[in-house]
Amino acid sequence: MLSTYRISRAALAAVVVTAGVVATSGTPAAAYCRTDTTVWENTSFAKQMGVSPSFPTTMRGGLNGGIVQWNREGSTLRYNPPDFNDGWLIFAWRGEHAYSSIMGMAPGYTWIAKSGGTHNGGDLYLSDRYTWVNGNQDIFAGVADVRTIVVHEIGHFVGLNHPEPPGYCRDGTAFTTAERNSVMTPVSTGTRRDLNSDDIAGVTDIY
Amino acid sequence: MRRVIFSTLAAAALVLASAGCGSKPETPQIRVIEAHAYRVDSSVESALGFFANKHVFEGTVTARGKDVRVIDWLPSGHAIEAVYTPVTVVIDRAYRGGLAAGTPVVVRSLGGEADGLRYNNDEVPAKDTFTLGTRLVIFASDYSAVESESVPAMTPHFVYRYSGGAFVDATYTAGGFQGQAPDRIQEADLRLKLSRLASAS
Repeated sequence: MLSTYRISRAALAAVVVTAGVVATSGTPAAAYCRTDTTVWENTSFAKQMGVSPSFPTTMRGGLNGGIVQWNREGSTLRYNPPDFNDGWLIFAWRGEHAYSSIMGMAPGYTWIAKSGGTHNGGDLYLSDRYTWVNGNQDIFAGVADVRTIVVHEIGHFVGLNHPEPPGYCRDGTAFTTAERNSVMTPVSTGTRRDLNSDDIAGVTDIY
Repeated sequence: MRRVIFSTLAAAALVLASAGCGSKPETPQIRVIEAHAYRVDSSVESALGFFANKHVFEGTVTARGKDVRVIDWLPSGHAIEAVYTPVTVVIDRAYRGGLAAGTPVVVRSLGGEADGLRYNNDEVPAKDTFTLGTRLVIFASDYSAVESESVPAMTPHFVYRYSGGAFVDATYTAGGFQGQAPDRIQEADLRLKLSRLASAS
């Protein structure tokens, strides 16, 4: 196990208070999951994804929106808009509209090279077997919303995991309503395009 | 001059030897990749209705190989790589696709370690799903070889494992969709739905 953060700062605060004079409920305000995740090694510069110039223009707005909304007050992590130039392969952090059978059925697939508890980049694939829209998705019909998928996958680069217990999130905390409604809990239909309180707590606590 | 160089090299070698350098074999560096796939609802109805299922069949696990590293070169010139355990499943009954009963197929059980690469992926079936003798219903896409493979293989979309007269969703190591219990369907009921799927194909 390279890096497992089993408790958020918010949850830790609740524990600390509980251990003191004042008793509180055991449910943290934000319980985002960090099981088996890594964090960006260096946040002294903004991250910029290099994207294949062949990336469809109709998907670029959703890609950008899914990335830069992770820039939050109170967090040192910053993402620049993606760069769609010819030299995209020299970027350490890349994005591509492509499919390999290794990806299986997923509309979005994240590949992170870990080094200890950190990472310096990785790859984001948006499967070209899907029809990509900027609107409601229906995964079973092969229709995916760009921003819904991207914001979730970028959450993995931030250092967040799927919060569903017990298989993904093994931090022993309950699956809270905030987690259930966060972008890190996938949806099959409709959209889930914007960070909620749980996602924001995650990125601001980590960075 | 040459003697001075030799003397210097000999001294350096002595220092290195006394420091223990060169006496230990280097530990091979293991690269670690963490993969995350956007998770899909894996209930029975979802599996039956998924748009990209090219092969649907019931089969039995008959063999498991050693982990292998796979590299797939994409048209962009970028490679995607992974590690999987090749699992042989002999088809008992096919519902979709051109594979006949009795045919052994190789299924990629993603995750594992090979050739200096450790590949982790939670959005795949658990390794024990592919225990020898296990009966499975598999929904999958292409049956073909990627760049580094010598034989065709398939990555399962959905996997249902037989257990006590029923088939249970084993698509994801982590369990059912959004924290729910894995879906479960009686054997006869699933076969009926699969037969209808075959008729509609």
